[in-house]
Parts: sequence; C-alpha cells; structure tokens
Amino acid sequence: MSVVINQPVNTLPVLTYRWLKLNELKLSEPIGIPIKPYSKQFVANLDAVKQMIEIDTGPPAVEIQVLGAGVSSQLTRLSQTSANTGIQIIVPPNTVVEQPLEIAYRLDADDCSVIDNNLIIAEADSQITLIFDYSSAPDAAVVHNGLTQIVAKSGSVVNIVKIQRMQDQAVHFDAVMAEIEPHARVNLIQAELGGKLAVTNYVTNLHQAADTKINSLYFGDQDRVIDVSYLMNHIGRHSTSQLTARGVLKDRARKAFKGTLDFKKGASRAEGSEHEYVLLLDPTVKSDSVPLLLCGEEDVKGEHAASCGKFDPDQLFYLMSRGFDKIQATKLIVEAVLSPVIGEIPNDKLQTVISEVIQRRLAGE
Amino acid sequence: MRKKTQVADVNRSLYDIKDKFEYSFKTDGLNEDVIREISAQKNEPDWMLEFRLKSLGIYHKLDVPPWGPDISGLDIDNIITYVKPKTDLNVTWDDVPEDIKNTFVRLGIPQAEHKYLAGVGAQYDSEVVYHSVQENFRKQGVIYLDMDTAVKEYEDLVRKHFMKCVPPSDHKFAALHGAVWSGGSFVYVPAGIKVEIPLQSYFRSNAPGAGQFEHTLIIVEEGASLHFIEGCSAPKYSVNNLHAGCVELYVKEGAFLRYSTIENWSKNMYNLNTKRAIVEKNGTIEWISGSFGSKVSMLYPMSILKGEGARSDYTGITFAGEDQVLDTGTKVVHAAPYTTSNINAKSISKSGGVSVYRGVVRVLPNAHHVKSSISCESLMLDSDSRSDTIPVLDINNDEVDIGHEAKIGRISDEVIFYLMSRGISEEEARAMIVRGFAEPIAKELPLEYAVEMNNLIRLELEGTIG
Repeated sequence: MSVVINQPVNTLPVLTYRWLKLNELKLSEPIGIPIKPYSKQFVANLDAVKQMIEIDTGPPAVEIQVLGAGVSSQLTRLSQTSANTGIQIIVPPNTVVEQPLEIAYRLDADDCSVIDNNLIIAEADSQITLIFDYSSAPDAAVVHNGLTQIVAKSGSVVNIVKIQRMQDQAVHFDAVMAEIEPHARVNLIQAELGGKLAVTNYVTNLHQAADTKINSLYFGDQDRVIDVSYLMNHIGRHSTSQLTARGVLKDRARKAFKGTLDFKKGASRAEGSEHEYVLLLDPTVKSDSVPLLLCGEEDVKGEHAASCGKFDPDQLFYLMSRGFDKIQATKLIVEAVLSPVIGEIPNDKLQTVISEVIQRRLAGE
Repeated sequence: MRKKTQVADVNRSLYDIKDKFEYSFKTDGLNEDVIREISAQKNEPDWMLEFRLKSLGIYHKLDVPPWGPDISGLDIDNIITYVKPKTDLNVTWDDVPEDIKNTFVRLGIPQAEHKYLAGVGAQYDSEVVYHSVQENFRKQGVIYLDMDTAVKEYEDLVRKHFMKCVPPSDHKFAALHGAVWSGGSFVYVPAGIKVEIPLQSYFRSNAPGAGQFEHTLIIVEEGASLHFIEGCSAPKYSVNNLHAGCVELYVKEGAFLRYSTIENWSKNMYNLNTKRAIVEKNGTIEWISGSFGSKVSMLYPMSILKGEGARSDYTGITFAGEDQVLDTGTKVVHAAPYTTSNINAKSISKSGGVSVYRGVVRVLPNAHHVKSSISCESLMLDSDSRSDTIPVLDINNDEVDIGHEAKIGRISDEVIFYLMSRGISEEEARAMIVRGFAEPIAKELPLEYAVEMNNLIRLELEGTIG
C-alpha cells in the first residue's frame, strides 16, 4: 500500500505577491510514500533511559491537537493515521534526563519509508534531550515524513536535535510542533544536509515567560531543494524566542527560508529575534528569504536580520597566500560560517559526521 | 485630574469640504458602451479606444488578489467611473470656475505655485482643469501637459510608452485603469536638462462614488533630472471611493528622477494604485512616499533596474489610524549588474489602524555585483492596532551584498527616562520620539510638504500616547 502526496507544502502564514511563487512550495511531481513496517532498531540507548521515563516505541496511543497544518495538512494527517514508527515519552515531574536519547533511522531498499509520529510530554520542571538522525543508503529512493509533537509543561526543558543527512534520492518532510507552557523552554537544533527535497516546518505556541531557541543549519549543493519554515506564536507575556539560521548554497541548490514572529495581542514584554546568514558559492544558486514580523501588541520587541552574499575575496586571498588551495580555503570559510550552529549539537560524534559530510560535498566527492 | 494626551487623528476639516455636485456627463456601470463613450467624449485616436477595450477584456478575466487587505467592500459596478466637470481645459487661473477655484484655494495651491513650484497640474475629479508650466522650462523643451492632451499632441511618444511599463495584464486594477483611465500628468524632460524646481501635480476627486483613474507618464531623457511631486486629498463621502491610478516613469541613461507623494485620501477611499519605474544605465529613481489617508491602500512603487549601475532609493512612511488598513512597501527588480537599491520604510499604527510593509527585492541570475539594503521599522502606539512586515528576498546570483533589517517595538522606556532626566515631561518626550521617527521622511520633502506632513502627524501635547 502507498499514498500519493500532491498538496503544496509550507504555505506562508500570510500570503504575498503571487508572481514570486513563494506563498507555498508546489511539488514538481506527486510523491508516492509506501506504507509498510519499519524493521530496524532505532533507539540506540533505550536501556540507559528507560528506568527514568515512560517510553514506548511506536506511534502515540493518544492524539493531541495539532498546532497548525505542519508541512501540509495531508502530510500531518499521514503521520497521525499511518505511522510506521515513532516514540512516545512522558518525562515525570522534576526528572532530569542527562543523557540524550538517540534515535537513528536508516532508510534503504528494504526500509524505504519512515513515517514517524512522536509525542514528547515533559512534565513540570523535567528535562530531556532527544537526537533524531535520519540517513539513507546511497541511490535508494526513500521518503521520510515525520511529526513530532512536544508538550513542555511549566518549568521544563526539552532539547530536540534533528539531523537530516540522507542521500541524493531521498525526500524529507518533517514537522515539529511545540506547546510551551509558562516558564518552559524548547530548544531546537536542525541540520538539513541531504535529500533531493527537504521540507521542514516548526511551529510553537509560547505561553507566559516561555522560551524557544532555534539553531538552524542548511547546506545545499547540486540540485537540492530546501524549504524551511519557522513560526513563533508569542501568546504569553514575557515570552521569548531567538532564531539563528546559517546556510551555504552551492551549484544549483534552491532554498526558501520562511521565519515568522507573530506577537499576539496580550503578549506584552515579549521579545523575539531572527537572524539568517547565507553564504552563496555559485551564481546558479537561488536563495529566497521571507522573514515575517506580525504584531498585534504594542509592548514587544521584535527584530529580524537577513543577509546573504559571497564570501569576502580578501578573506580568500589571505588564506590562499598562506598556502591553502582554493578548496581548502573555501572549506575553512564554510566551516567558520556553520560552526556556531554545529557547535550547539550535544554529541561530538554527530558534530564530526556533519563536518565530514560538508567537507566531502565541498570537495565535490 | 491627570490630563490625557493623544496623537491626534489627522485633522480633515480642510480636506473634507464638499462642493455642490455638478457634472455635465457621467456614466454608471462598466461595459463596452461606457468605454466607447469615454473615448468619444475625449475625442481620442482609435488605438487608444482599442487599448481601452482590450484592457476591459483583461479586467473581466482577472481575479482580485487573494493576498493583502480585504477589499470586498468595494462594489466596482456601482462606481461611477468617469465624471467630467463642467469646465474645459483652462490655461490661466482666472478662467477656472469659482467653486472649483475655491476648493483649490482652500488647499493652498496657487500660493504654492508662486512660492515654490514650476508648474501646477490640478485635477478636479477626472478631468484636468488647470495647468501651467513656467515659461523658461517650456523654452528648454520641457513638456508638462495633462495626459488627455498629450495623447493627441504627442501621440507617438505616448503610444510608445503608455502602459508598456505597467501592462494592463499586471493585475485586475491595472486592467481597470487601462480601460477607464482619465486625466493625469505627462512630463517629458529632454536630454541634459536639469529641472531645478520641483514640478507639482495636486489633484483631488470630488464626486460621490467617483473613481479616480489618472495616468502619470514621465520620461526623463539621458542625463536629465527632475523632481516631481504628487499630492492628493479627497473630500469624505459615505459611498466608497476607488482610486486606481497608474504612474509610469522612464529614467534614461544617467538620468535622475525623484518622485514624491503624500497620499492623503479621505478614509472611505480604496487606494489601489500602481507605480513603476524603468531605470536605464547609471540612472537613479528616488521614491519618497507618505501614506496617511484612505480606508485601504495597496501601494508598492516598483523599480526595474534595467541598466548597469542603475539605482533605486525608497523612503516611505505610513501612518495608519482608526479603520485604516495601509498595505504599502516597494518592489525592486535588479535586472542588471552593478545595480543598487536602498529601502527605508517606517510605519506607525494607532487606534486600531493596520499598517503593513510588503515588499520584495529580486536579483535576477545575470545581475552580479548587486547591493541592496533594506530597513523596516514599525512603531505601535497601542495594542488595538496591528503592524505586519512582509518582505521577500529573492536572490538568484551569488555576487551580491544584501542586508535586511526589520524592527518592531514600542517607544523605549530608557529613552523616555533619559529625556525626563533632562527636564522634559513624559508627554513631551513621547511626542518628540514619534516626531523624530518620521523625521527622515520629512527632511526629504520640500518645506511646504514637510509642513503638511507634520500637520498630518500633528501631536496634541496633552496627555499620554497609547
């Protein structure tokens, strides 16, 4: 059995000029997603944490209300009704899980689809970190569609790391939704490194003094299409959000970055900021940014900054004068651009893996 | 009792003067017969009638944009598209009928002409009734005419440029404009001529339910320069009014054009205006745009930087008060290498007003060494209002240097505290900050307009803002 995905994805929270074709991403062709069980073990260190938390591998038994359409209502519905994997976690009150829970999916000819539906409930003043790592076998035409819902209750901290480093034939859809209750925090680190099409969507409701910090990284080369969307709904007083996005585009890669700060009426003293920097390496890339700032409350502070450009020729010249060849020099500069985000990943092995993926791609291997 | 201060709503008593509604010809509804009648009344060449009919066809095919403000209150079929006032074109002030003249006198136009301006093109309803240009410019070859006359007297020049920059197929209201346009200004500045004093067109619409569809066509030839000022105000009526004007600017090689506008339509006006400039090699377009009036505005002056080294500067301020939705911004297309754009947009929202910055900077694949800097700042004076920023950066080349910054916020407590520590009252401090916020726009305007703008943002210095 399989389903066909044809709805447009990542629709903007408010629409703008149609001729730009950025209000939504239309799929260039319908995408078939086979629905069959996922066969591999996917939680690396289950034993280490299962004494502390309630954990069940498999789609959630209960359905909680979604905060939005996600990547598209069709894809969100697919994860809710036809997931072939997932985890559900309840972290008891005051429980601090120090060791990150590592969830790794490897897609290949046998496991050609991952449709995961994850639910993480962090009770009051608890803490947990989850690392999701999606990779695929070379030349395997695979699809991932994920839905991760987070309920961070008062005073809790939930850290989510999502690494997508699938091969060139892969398609990646991923939605993360977080309800952040008073004084709770959700931190998201997201790295989009692979796939021919990668579409991610993060939406969060920030209640009183809630906070979310997002570190987003993307590396697009060849003909990759990347479409990332972040929506911060500031609902409560004193809620805060910070988004840092760092990206590199090469060859014919196309990227759309959609970041929205939405200050709702009543969210007084809320503060939000968004910064995006993109390094462009070839004249054939396409870089779109739509940094939206929506505001219905007087007493807020919101700021956006987006910039893009080629690297400084002086920088390159300096490095080359020190004996580096052009590829080595480029590698160094790219590393410098991306390292603030890579450095946030709480796993040394994954940091190395990511750096290696990027270095390999830059060398054209 | 503590006194309350507020940022005053724009005082409209000056603008809301109605004159007796008199007309010699008017039409209802929108169909082919109406278009033929308009064209016949104007005694136009056949190509223009054909153009109007073609545009009407496009108008009926296109939909209303699904994005942006709600304009469902607009009932286009009930808008009287064309109202011809009871006077023919006049060349001297003395010939203008008394009631029409009184309206202009109250708006201060003749004084403005004497003091500051090279020429006045004043539009009463849809027909230009008064026009003059200073003699020395005429000698230099500067042409400043109403559009209807230009179609006949400079037919080739008009035909070559008319709605080539903004084609009727652009959007529904551009098509409507193409079908029913009437009046407006035509300016031609020959190569190398620097027009030192700003040219001004002050027009207004007056009939209940009258649409205003004036067309402005400006051609600034190689190495020439011009500052053109467009200002509008309209009396207030209960019937919803529509303004769907069109401005087409051709800035040739090395030429300079500054186009300044203070839009101050009454609060029942739907202002769906289209403005666009094509800028050739090393040419410069500067847009100065103040949006204060109207019920709904959708206004995004666009610069197409077509030649190498072309440049666009946009400085805009939007002040949305009660029941207003002002959706404004700018669009820039970098279509050639070494082109530059600067965008500086500010908005203020109060008393339930909605201000939106909507814009785009697009860099085409061949446009290398492009520089663009975008800054959007919004100030909210209360929480009944809204302020949205909807920018797009669409970059298709890597040799670019693009920076975008947007900020929203309230008046900073620290600044208030600082000013108060210097002996200034809290109320005065807040008022100073709001005035200071608008200052960058005010200083770009000629004195008369800066004064008018400051009146529009007039602050009553009693009480607190918000």
